[in-house]
Order: sequence, then structure tokens, then C-alpha cells
Amino acid sequence: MSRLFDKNLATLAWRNLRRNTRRNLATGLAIAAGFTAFMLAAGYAYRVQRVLSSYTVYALHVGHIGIYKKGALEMFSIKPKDYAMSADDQKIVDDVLKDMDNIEMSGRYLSGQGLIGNGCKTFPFMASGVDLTIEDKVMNHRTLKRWNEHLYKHRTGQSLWEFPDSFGAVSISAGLAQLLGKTKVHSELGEAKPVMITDCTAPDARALFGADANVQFAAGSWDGTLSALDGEIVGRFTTGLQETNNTAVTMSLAHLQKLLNTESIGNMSVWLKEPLLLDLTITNLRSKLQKAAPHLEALPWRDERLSPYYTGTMQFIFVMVSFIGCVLAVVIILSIFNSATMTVIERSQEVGMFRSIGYNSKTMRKIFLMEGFFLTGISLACGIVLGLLAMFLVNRLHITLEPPGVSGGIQLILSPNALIILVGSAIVSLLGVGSTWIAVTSVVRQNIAKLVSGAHR
Amino acid sequence: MNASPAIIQLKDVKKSYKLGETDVPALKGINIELKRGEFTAVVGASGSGKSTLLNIVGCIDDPDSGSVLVDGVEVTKLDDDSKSALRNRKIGFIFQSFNLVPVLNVYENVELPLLINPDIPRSEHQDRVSQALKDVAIDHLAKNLPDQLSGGQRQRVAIARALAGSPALVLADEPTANLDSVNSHRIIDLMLELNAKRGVTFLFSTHDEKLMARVSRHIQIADGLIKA
Repeated sequence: MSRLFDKNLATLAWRNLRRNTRRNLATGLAIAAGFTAFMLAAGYAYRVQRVLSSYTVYALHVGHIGIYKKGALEMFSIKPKDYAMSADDQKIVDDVLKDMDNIEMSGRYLSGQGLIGNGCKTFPFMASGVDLTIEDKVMNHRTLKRWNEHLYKHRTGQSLWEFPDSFGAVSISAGLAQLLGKTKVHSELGEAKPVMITDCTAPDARALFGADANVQFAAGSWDGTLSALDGEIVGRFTTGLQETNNTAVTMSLAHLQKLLNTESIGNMSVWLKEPLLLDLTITNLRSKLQKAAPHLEALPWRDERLSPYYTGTMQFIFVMVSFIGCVLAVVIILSIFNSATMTVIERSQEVGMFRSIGYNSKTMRKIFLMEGFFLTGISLACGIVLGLLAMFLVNRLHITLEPPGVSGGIQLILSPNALIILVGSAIVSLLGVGSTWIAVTSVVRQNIAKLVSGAHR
Repeated sequence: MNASPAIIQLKDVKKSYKLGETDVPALKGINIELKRGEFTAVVGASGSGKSTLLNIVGCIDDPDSGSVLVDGVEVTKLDDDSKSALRNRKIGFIFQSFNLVPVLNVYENVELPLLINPDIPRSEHQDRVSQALKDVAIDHLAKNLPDQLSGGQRQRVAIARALAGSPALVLADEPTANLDSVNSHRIIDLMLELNAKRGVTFLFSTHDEKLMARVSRHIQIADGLIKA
């Protein structure tokens, strides 16, 4: 068929939309409203995905790829010595990474637990020993800043990398600081010397806890002895999760190694320049590690063992959005199918006329499909505009949610994503055209004499 | 165009319809030959088989058996696309209820068959449509939409559409059934005039006795058989 002919068909299809304005308007509104709802749900899911993924990759130091000794994820907490990465392992990984493209940076990490005290009371802590050589880059990464702005708002004091390892700087979570009565951080106290508390039951004891930023750590070292170290609280942060907000401590890797009396690390984390190439990069890395250090394994950040909170949350949201999407798809299919069926039956005599003067069934179907496509397209455009407007309004209303397990409220922010809108539109267009195709196919293939006489109705 | 003087040849054409479990015969073995340029009316009572005959001649319905030749082509052996192409190039249709597309203006309605005819270049469309509209004397209404026209004017548009592609045969099923007597006579006069002027073969069905008198050849059909 010539382009001219297609243009004429398109003109006819376009004008046909005006023939039953009320029905087309109702169908169009159903599609537009459905797509708006989809955009809101998808905007929420996208926002959560971006926030949690950047939080996991950067703030939790998981990296895009985690390199561990095989079995470490299950056994490290029980037998840390056996499942840690030695200095030799670290050098091998450094050499492998040096020759690879798409590596933005890598760092060494160690975790450990013990007791933290203020001179009177002790509480359990979970410490992360972080690589200070890259901590600045990790915690100020543009991706983390873009999606986790709230982390910076809740941060008090200075950063670990501003202090030498010998200083013993630590950052503690807000909940733990409260438990310890450490209301101020190093920069707020100046050069205050550690305060000796002689009577922990005295009425002024609690005030004395906050008079300095000194804490004491005690832990069982990897060689089985008891180890203790001082630390100076230079910063306070929120983990965002109640589960960890009362126990989390961050310190330099060297400080934690000293506490645990080891030179090993728990894992290395690798950040990529282009995260979209994760699968390609990890395949390449695994093949290199297989040759150089087969006892090590590389895992993607979205592995359930590395990011259980992310994967659990996203699975739930995926199910929720998929369910909404399926309901909307059914609504859209039925609306268009109903509209197209009514239209084609009403116009069966006209279809007969077209067929009589030489239009074949394929061409007739094309006219109706164009109508369906135009109707869906216009409705989608309206749905997108409405969706963007609704997102803007929701974001402006500053609605705060308090989901279970999350410390403090989080603002409900919906983030539009062009790719999701594009893919969603393409799917809805396909559903629209597909529903029209099913509705019209049987009619345009009917006996022409019956169509012309109106007997088809 | 085929050199044969016969534009239509029907040999022993039979057609029946299902009515529940019963087969109701509509045509019981029809033999007809129509020469080029003839102006013929198929007459008969309602249910006699007039429309079925026209539908089969126009390739919009298939016979159960028999042979149908249109301009020398055996149409019973053609597939759907070939029949569509044959209808587009060789046959024009005029319907009782006009069947104009309400969202297209008169010019666009008349142009419809030309849009899918590869033998007629786009550059000829305007001349052909204008000529067809002049022939039916409604060229001044080219920009009007069908609902701005009277019944007689609409049927003229339908005739112009049937003639625009210069078909060898024009079929009209009760073309005056929806018109008053004045307009009915005008339409028949017009068809006669076009038959004489363009040499187009006309085959139309009617049960209007006043019109029958204006037509040179009648095919009388009753109970699915040709009577005269």
C-alpha cells in the first residue's frame, strides 16, 4: 500500500473517532485514568527502588559487586578467621581489578560486633570498618546524594575521613547515641577531655555522659582474647531502620582491625562506572577470579544475601505494582474491546460497502486498528499529563509515611521515569491495538452480502 | 478489457441459505448472459432471489454451485483478495441505503474506490472525481458532508462513486427504494443517461412497476428461477 493510501486511511480513522464522541470519551477516560494510576504506582515503585538501591550500594558499602571468600556470607560471623580475605587475597583482587574496564573504585570492609560503653553502661554494637581512602567518594557519590538526600539531613558532626586512623574516630547511629547519652559529637565539644564518672547512679551522671565524645569498645578478638579500644564520636547518623539504628557504628577499617586483632578483611566492594553493565562486568570478573583465586567469589549487589532488605522490599513492591498493572490491563482491554466491538457492529453496513468497492479485509482491519491506536494514543497522552500533574501534587503535599521498621517518617515522593512511561505506553498501545484486532477481525471477514444488508447485526 | 461481448455469464448457479436446520433455496439453477452496455432490471417479489443474484454477480457472495464469469473471469475460483481487486476495477455498486461515509465529504466519498486502484494514478483522481460528480450533476456539492444532502443527492453521490473508477459493470440493488417517485425517476433517468453516455452495463433490481417500463430488458425472477 502506498504512503498516500495510508495517509488517507489515517485521515478516515481520525475522523471516525468523532462519530461516537460519548463512547470514545468514556473509553479514553478509562484508559487515561488507568494509566494515571499506573504512573502513580510505578512512580512510587521507581522511587523506592532508586532510594533503596543507592542506599544499599553506597551507604551500606555493598558496592555493585561484592567479593567474598566462598561460603563467607553464611560462615563469616561464626568463623571469621577462616572466611576472611587475607592480604594475599586482597592483592590478587587488586591486580584483577586493575586490568578491568568499568571499575570506578574498590574498597576493603570488615564487620564486627561487641560492646560499646560510656563508662557506666554498655550496649551491643555492630561495627562496619570502612576503607577511609575511598569513603569520601562513596558517601558523597552523586547517586547517593540524588536519591538519599534525607541521609545527609540527619547526619551530625564530621566525617571519618577527616581524621587520621590514629585518632580513633567513630560515627554512631542516632539510637545508640541516645542510649549512651552521647548527645554531642566531637566538633560540638571542642577539645573536651574524657570525663571520669565515679558514681554511675549519681543524679548528674547522665549529664556527664554527654560531656565528652569518648566511648569504649570491647570485643572478642579473632585470636580468642578480649580486646578493648577507645573511640571518639565524630559523627552521628541515622540508618533509617529501627532494627539497626540502636546498634550501628562506623569506624575506620584499621581501627576495627585493631579491635579484632586482625589484618584480614571481610570483603571487598567494587563500584562500577556504568552500573547498567553489571552483568557483563561480573561475568568478566568471575572468569578472571576463577583463574587467579578460585576460592573467592563475586556477587552482584542485588543478591538476596547481600541486600536482604532491598530484595525483600522490591519483591513486595513488584508484586503490588504487577497486580495493579494486571487490573489496569484488564480494564483497558475490556474498555477498548467493548468500544471496538460496538463500533464495528454499528458500522457493519459501512464495512460491507468498503468491501464491495474493493477494500480487502486486511485494509478494513487497518482502518479500525488506526482508530484504536489513535484513541489509545490520545488517551495515553492525557493519562501521562494527568499522571505527571498528580505526582507533582503528591510531592508538594509533603505526605509523610511511617512504615513499620523504619525509624522516623519518610516523605512520600513519587518519581516519574521516562523509560517506565515509555514501556507502559507501548504495552497499553499494544493492548489497545490487540483488543481492537480481536474485536474487528471476525466482522471484517464476514460475508459481504450479509454486511451490506445489515443482516450481520 | 476482455473482448467477449458478454460481461456476465451465469451457468446453473445455485444458492441456498440455512434457516436453522433447514436449507432454503434462493437460486435454483440460474443461467444468464449480460452483454456489454446493456441496461437490465431484475424484477421479482420480495424473497424471489433478486438480491442474491446481484450479490453473486457482484462477487460479494458465493454460489453453492455453478459458474460465474465476470468479464471472462471465473470468479468462483478466486481468493478473497483477487475478488476484492476485481470488484474494485470492474464493478461499481449502488446501494439502496446509499452507504456513504458520514465523516467524508462528497468528493472524498467518490474518491474511495480510486484510493486502492493501482491502475489509476493519483494525478488522475481529481479529474475522475470531478467528471463523475459532473455526470450526476452534483459537482457544486463536492465539499458537503452526506448529512447535508437530500436522499436524491446522496444517491447521486453513490452513483458517482460507482462510476469514478470507470467500471465495466454497475450493480444497483433497489437503488430507488429509499426515494420518492420523483427522485426515483430522476435516478433511473440518470442511470439511463450514463449507460448511453459511458456505455457502462447496468444491472439493477427493483420491484417498482413504474420503473420497469423505462428499462429495455427485464429478467423476471420468481422462487429462485428465471421466468422470462
